[in-house]
Amino acid sequence: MRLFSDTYTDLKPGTVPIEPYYSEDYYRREQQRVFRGQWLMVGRVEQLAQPGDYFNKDLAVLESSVFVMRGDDGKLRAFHNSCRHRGNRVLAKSCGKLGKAFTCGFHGWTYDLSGSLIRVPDEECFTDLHKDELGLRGLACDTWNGFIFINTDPRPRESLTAFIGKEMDAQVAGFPFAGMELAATYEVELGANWKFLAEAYQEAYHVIAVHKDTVADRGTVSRWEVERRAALRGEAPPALPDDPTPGHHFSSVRLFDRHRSMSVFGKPKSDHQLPPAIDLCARFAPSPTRSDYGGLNTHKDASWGADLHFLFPNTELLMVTPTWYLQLGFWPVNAQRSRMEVNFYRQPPRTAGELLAMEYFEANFRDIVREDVAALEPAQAMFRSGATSGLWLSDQEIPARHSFEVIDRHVRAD
Amino acid sequence: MKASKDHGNFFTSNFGLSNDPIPIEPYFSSEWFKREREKVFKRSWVCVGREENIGEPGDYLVRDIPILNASALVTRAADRKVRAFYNVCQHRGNLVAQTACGHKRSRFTCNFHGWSYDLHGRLVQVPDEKVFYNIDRDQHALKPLHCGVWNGFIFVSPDPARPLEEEFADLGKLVDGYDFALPVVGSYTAEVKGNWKVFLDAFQEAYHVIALHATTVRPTFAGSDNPFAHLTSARIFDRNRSISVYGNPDHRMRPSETLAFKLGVASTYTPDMEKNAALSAAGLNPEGDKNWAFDINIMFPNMELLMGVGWYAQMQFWPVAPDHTHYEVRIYMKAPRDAGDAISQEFNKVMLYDVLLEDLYTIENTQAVLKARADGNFIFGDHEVACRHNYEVVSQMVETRS
Amino acid sequence: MSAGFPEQFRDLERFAATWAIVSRHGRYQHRVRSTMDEVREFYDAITSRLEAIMKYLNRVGLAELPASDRTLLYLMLAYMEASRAVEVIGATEVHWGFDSSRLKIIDGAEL
Ligand code: FES
Ligand code: FES
Ligand SMILES: [Fe+2]
Ligand SMILES: [Fe+2]
Repeated sequence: MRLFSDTYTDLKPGTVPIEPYYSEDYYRREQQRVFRGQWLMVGRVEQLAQPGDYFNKDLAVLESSVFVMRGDDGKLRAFHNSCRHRGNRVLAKSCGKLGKAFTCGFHGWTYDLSGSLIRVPDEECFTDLHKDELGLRGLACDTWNGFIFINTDPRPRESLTAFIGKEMDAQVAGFPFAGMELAATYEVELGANWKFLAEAYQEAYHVIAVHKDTVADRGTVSRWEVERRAALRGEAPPALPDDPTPGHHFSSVRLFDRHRSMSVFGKPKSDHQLPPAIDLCARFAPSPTRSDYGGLNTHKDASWGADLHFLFPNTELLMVTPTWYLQLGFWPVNAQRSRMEVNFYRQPPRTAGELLAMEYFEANFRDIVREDVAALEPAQAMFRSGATSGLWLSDQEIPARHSFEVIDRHVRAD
Repeated sequence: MKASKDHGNFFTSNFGLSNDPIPIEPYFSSEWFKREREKVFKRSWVCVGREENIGEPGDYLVRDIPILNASALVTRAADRKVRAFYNVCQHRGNLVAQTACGHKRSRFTCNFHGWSYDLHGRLVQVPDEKVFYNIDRDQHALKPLHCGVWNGFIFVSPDPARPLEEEFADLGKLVDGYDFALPVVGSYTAEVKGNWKVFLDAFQEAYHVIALHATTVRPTFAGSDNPFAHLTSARIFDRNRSISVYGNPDHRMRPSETLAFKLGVASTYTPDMEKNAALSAAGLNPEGDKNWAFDINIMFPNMELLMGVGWYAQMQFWPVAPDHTHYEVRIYMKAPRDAGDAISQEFNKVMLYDVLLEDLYTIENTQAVLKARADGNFIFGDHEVACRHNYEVVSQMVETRS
Repeated sequence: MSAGFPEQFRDLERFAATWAIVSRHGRYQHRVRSTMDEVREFYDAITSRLEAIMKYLNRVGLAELPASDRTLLYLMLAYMEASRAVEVIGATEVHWGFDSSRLKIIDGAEL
């Protein structure tokens, strides 16, 4: 059944070529065209609450290490973390708080919070040294809903607002991002191309197989189990009356120019018997009222479970309730390696029950990530073998296809 | 203000070098690295060991030279002459000698099919020779490397631009009288993610002492009359160079250092200034500098000798890839005669180790972000003149035709 | 276990099991794995006895030093490690440093 392909007819059916998933050459072009000069999400404003706060981000894909800092004037600025003297990393710690200035550890050149060079030890022994031209090399930096984005182009072709676009902005309008705290971060580095990794988080087709144990409380799996058992008995599966799209897992999909949003089907939870821990969560989790659901299920799907919002090229928001959300970053390390970052944000829990519920969600998602990652490396290892010439994508995987097409369009642009 | 050693571009202009910023690209580019292999390292001399390592006929050593994609086999034959060869069997290319060093060898037998070579590299035995159609053994001797000895250091080169004696003649005069025939009392190695020039540069200037080594050796090598650890003097000899490092006469000796100096040698301690002039006769402190601590003699392309009273250290920076260097340092001192000598030497080894941790850390941090600044520059001050000179020499060689 | 220290250094015997380490690498490792208080305690105990210890150890050449005095010698070598931490750095290791497991101490140059 084709739910989405008929809407998005620009996307060609058939296979997605496999070479872009391992080629060094393709990767170099991605570095140039998909990452350099594009807006990339690197953190949240809460990390940099006060003047002098900074964090560092090693970005292999940019062959750089970049830091973002809040200046005396309250402005956020981003810089290549490389001293103008002889290139040493100026800020060596992963994050911290600075006073009025900071000093390179190699020879002691000192910069102020706006990145200007203010002191050179033994300055007299440099000839034709113009301190005013030797500020740290900056990147563009801006925020959207409290998310910090950088762009290697100090004067980007497109503003962050234009980049996000009205449609994407509308998807999450009203979501209470600002009141959340970062409760946990997972990082995993694995031997899989970054697109392959990111695509695993833009389709729900694999949920029934890969996550059959972990996502048991969301409904789709029980549907799959019913079908599987029926098939084993040689019977036709019984129809489930409350599943509007039997066998399918996205209730709706919206493809924009570069970004995309997907909503995942969710089965009303009254239907099945909850195990004790989940039952505990259901009872004690902060229970938002209907009106709190601003920025969620904007498409108003009838059996709605969660939203996925993917921002080109490598960031995703996974939103389930107004009380917590996940942010995922898919960072290339090289053509066949990536690093995934998962940040779990939540409303500060007010009771022990709320804390326990959040703890469960967080732990559960960690298991889900492990299942995803375990499936990817063996597949990547076969890409070069010639055993597969392309990736078959179904109608339900149309966001993954869109993801590839958008990247490929950039790679091929002149 | 007129340029003097402590102001302006004193060394830089004296040596006829420019003040221009230096492009960063040669410090990470793989293109450039390939050209360094061809134009710099194949045409230069690299040190593969000390004569004492192969003191007797039949002794040999093997040394990998990653940038030449080569392994060198160095032998001493009965005529006591030191010879070097590519460690490659002329039959089908296997390594002829497989161990790092050895003694009492008269021949090397390749373990693939058993061809044998003597210490002169001559092919002396071919099993089942008759099936090789009148093989001309002379045509299949081990391929020689140019080889020479300078002050006991054995150097090899695939295709030297100049004879060894000529290449290091001026440095030879400078260190004349110094006794290099000392045992290695300590040695460290590391694989470091840094370009070999980034690496070498960190060891041919003292400008970083006050910042990077602020908590370790700053009080030793900077003082109230020389707050920025200015070099006391510097010399350039064509591709090679030599700098002298300041020692702070007022630095307060702590119990461990006092003990080390009393018992033997403390390399941090600045020798008696009155006696410094006399040192030049012993191959040290060539300009008789006041408040002198030690000399760094940089032997192009990838070795330096740090030389002080009663100790010297040999550092080698072996390029492996544009952003990877294999580093070695050996500390040479008299063999300890008593517990006091041993304890005194320990002071020097421990001190160097801590300082190296700081240096190597910074080298990797420097390399990490260079590519992102591909169009950028390095800025070398007057007291980083050796770094500037190294860049100029390398870039000239890399850019010459032929 | 008695390290067999001569009478006048018996009080230092309590450091033998932890600090008298044969290899350079081992001594460095022990220094950076100790707390600053442990390093300082060892450092202070030795510093106050420096003259006496050296007079004792240096009475003969290294080759003649009896095996039973080697423990004290290793203790003194470890003292040089401790001294950097206490006298110079103010911490067991340098504040910004390369991973010490990657800066290899080559055996064979051991005492
Ligand atoms: S590299 Fe930063 S001061 Fe020299
Ligand atoms: S390769 Fe050496 S004998 Fe054949
Ligand atoms: Fe998944
Ligand atoms: Fe240094």
